[in-house]
Amino acid sequence: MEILRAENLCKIYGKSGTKVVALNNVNLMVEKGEFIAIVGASGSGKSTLLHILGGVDEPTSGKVVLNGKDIYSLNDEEQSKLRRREIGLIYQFYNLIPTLNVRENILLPIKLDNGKYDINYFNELVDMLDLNNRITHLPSELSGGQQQRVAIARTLMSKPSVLLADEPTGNLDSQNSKEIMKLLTRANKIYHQTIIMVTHDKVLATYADRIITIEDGKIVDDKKVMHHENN
Amino acid sequence: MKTIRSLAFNYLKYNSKKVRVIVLSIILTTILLFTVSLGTSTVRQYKIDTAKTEFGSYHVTFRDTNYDQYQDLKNNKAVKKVVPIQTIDKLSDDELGKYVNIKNIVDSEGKFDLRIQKMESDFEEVVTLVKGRYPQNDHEIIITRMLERNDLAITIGKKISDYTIVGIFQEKNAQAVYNYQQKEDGSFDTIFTPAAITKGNIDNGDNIDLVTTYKSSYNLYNKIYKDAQSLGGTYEIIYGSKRYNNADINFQLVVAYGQYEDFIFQRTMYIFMIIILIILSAFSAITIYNSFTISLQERKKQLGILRSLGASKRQLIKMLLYETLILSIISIPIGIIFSFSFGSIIIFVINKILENIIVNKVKLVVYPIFLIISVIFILLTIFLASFLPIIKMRKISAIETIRESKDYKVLRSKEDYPIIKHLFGSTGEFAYKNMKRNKSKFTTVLVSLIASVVLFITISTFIDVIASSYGVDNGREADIHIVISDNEAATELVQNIKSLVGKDRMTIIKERQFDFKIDNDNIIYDNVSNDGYYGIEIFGLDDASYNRYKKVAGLKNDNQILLYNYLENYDDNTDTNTYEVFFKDTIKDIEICRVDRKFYPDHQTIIPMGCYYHFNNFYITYDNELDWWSPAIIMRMEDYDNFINVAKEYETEQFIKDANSQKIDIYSEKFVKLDKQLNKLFAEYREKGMDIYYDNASLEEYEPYMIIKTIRLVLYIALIFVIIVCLINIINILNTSIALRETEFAVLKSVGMSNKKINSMLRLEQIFLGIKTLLWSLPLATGVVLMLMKLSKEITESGKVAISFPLRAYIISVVGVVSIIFIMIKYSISKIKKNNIIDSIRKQSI
Ligand SMILES: Nc1ncnc2c1ncn2[C@@H]1O[C@H](COP(=O)(O)OP(=O)(O)O)[C@@H](O)[C@H]1O
Ligand SMILES: [Mg+2]
Repeated sequence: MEILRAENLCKIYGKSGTKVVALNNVNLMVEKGEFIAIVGASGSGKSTLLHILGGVDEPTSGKVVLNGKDIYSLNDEEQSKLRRREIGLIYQFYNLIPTLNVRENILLPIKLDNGKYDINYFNELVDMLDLNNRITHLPSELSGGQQQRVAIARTLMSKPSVLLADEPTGNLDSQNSKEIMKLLTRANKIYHQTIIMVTHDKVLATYADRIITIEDGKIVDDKKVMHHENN
Repeated sequence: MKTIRSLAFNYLKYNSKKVRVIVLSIILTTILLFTVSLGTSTVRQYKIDTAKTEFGSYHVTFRDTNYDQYQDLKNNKAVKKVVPIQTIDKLSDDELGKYVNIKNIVDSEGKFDLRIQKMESDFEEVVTLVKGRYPQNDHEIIITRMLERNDLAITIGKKISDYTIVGIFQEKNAQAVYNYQQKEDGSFDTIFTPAAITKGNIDNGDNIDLVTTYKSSYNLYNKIYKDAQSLGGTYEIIYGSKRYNNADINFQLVVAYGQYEDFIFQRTMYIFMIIILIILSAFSAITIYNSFTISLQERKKQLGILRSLGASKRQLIKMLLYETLILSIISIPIGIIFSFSFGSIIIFVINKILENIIVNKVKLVVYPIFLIISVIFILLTIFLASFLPIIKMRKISAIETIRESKDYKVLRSKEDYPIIKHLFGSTGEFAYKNMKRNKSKFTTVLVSLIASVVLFITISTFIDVIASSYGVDNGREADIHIVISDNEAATELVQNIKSLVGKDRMTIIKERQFDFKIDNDNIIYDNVSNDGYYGIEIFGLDDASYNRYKKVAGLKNDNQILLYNYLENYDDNTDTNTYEVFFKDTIKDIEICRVDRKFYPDHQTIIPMGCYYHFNNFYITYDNELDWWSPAIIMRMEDYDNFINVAKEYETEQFIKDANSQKIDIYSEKFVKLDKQLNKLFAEYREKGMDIYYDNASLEEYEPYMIIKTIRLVLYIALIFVIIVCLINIINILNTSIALRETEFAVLKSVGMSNKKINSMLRLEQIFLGIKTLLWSLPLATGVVLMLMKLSKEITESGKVAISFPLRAYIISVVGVVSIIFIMIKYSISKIKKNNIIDSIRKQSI
């Protein structure tokens, strides 16, 4: 079942003289429950693509359809609602709100919306992400790995249609990186969470079931990954 | 909404340091704007109180009404209080004569009527009791202080006709008390008809004056006109407004209520005030605007994250406005408390300084309506000033903000500034570009500095304008002038005065005009055909004073000094004065002839002249205007006395008496204290029957002088206060901006910029800031100053610009800005030194 579709996406930065074509006619279709890794060299346009898919950056041309809705034709209120409910974004720098504690950070997108949430699901997530005894801490009191786990919990909390992660492990050591990848895989398997992750680490990319390679703003390769181990 | 609120609240809680700039700017705004309303209501209340004490709290007196009209007015809903006074009797000249010697009271015509009026109660509405008590029945009266004469025994206890005097009053409501009547031809009865007041019920007759107070001061004139008309009054238009012949308005009070419009001085003052208010508001608004811009810029990334988490623009705006609200709720009361305390201190100081001058103590007052209006005004200023940056924030898309503060990009600007580069080198150009990039931070500092300079220069000029409108500082030789008759007690009195005056300048003068015969040898030019006789004033001075003048004139011996080389000559035929005689500098002995040469043409005394010297301000306080320009001779007192002794045998008794009266001129800084002491002393001697004339000119000018001094003080304190707050503002901005730029400096260091280079970059930034401040503020201030100078024409009678260009204020400003910049440089550099590179880079600020 198709959940996300990008059609003829182009993104051009700057004016004629210093023009940078970050995305060049990208087409992409994502099925529900897929775990996609986008790989490519630095500056190839990975983040740009991810941001446009996530509704936080506007394409120069082309459209993005999420659950049948063309997200860039919506007004601000509807777009914000879409971001709250259907899109989860994770960044390299965890981007937590420093003045809110772990619990408040996790619940923030829900609170920005209607405020109703499933306490059991919350506990389950906190359990899964091993944040139980950190729940009232401020972000500044947590390690990098912990902060990223909070960011993931925040994203999963609103059960988004797609989870978009831009180099989520870029700022972590390999041990913590593996932890995070396992968590993402688990979310993918348990909750059938659709995930699109940007990374420039070929090894980490193999956690995904589909790897898209991007070069100079163009998709140059798109292939399924066969997993031999049984998780 | 709850989340929005808690987000806002949390932000403020954890970023108290960052929002301090905003809090400060709101407090500053509140103080500035609230103080204006505080000041306005305090001044207004003071004027009202003073008017009430001095002239009564009534609004109008309707004259010549009857009992029915009195009842009607009493039932008028707009009227708060009506106090009736009914004239019942008039003791005429002849009748009064039986009780007192009226010729001694009124010297000219001896005409004197005493009007007896009755009141039921509320005496204090029209008079202030000075002595005794109020009347309790219709056989007791109180009389005006003007009539009380111990020597004539018109005082408490004395019986006049059927009435016994029980009290003495000072009138407040002069019209009601004196009851001048308008005659048929429209002119006023000028016969001195003071009133005596007795107690009695108002009867069903005529001749009732109604001292009326309305419930509210709103629209007072119209109410008065309406009632005056219905009471049968007719009006004339005088200076554009109606004046009813039967209504005596309590003018001072009505003016204090602000109900009198065509008063040019007041209007000009209001214009000044409004100018200053506008500068203050603009200054506050810009400060708030900038502190918001800074704070939002720091939070761009956080706002971006919130956007990416699905917060809508409306939610963000709500959050920011909510923050503003919280900050306002905290800061406005602080500001108000500040202004109150500040105001109280100033009022305390004013009351102390003006203790002996002002009638009522100044009270710090704020009308509830003023409080509400100013809070609304403050809130409006705050929200308008904060709304713009908040609205601007909308444009920022989530992704840009998330990306932005990730790392510091070393500036890559396409623009070049060849002139800056030429003048200050490449570091200078770099610093300049930095300033451009951190525009809003620099703008706030810039605005604070510019505002301080403009305010300083403007207020200094403003102070000059006020001072010039009063014309203080007249550079007199003496302030206190006393005339006493020269009898046995005089020597002792002079001695007593001398001991009070102490070391201050005191001149004892005797003075008389005589005729002199002047040789043609002594005259340069004379076309007055008066056979060589001229009226000349001679002054006998005490030794010390004589020696003082002698020294100035450079005279070696104790001879006379001739003053002024003009002689005023009155020409009967043409009815003009001519000033025609010019004495030679080397004037020789001149001859005196007695005062009335027509009767005693023979007698002559030779007076040896020492020299001629023109003193610009020789003595004479009371004659400061000096409408006579007569030559005068100064001599030692001993010589003067001898001279008068010789003249004695030819002159009338009165002449000799006048000639012997002593004038004492005193110049003293402590004239207020001296005034009290002298009054006490003179009272003593007057009892003994000595005639004493006493005039303390300084005292008359003391009030405006002290008021000016006080206004000056208050304005300067206010100014210093504003500047201090400005500086705090600047320091605060520097702190946040340096904290923010830590990463920038660290990156610059990590790419190899030396500490020295960074310091010199900083230094240049601040120097540019200083230059920019002066480039902006001096022309701006000049504009305001020119405007003030133009406006000052309106309030000075002469129509000339009364103030000179405030060069001193300009110099102080420039020096001030330079020192502030210097301090800022020192401060920033010392702050930066403490930071280490890695710490700064690692610090991740959202
Ligand atoms: N705001 C921007 N302005 C101009 N160019 C940009 C901007 N953001 C990204 N780019 C350019 O677009 C290209 C793609 O960037 P990005 O998507 O961040 O690459 P990646 O994430 O693959 O490293 C790069 O060449 C980058 O320099
Ligand atoms: Mg990237």
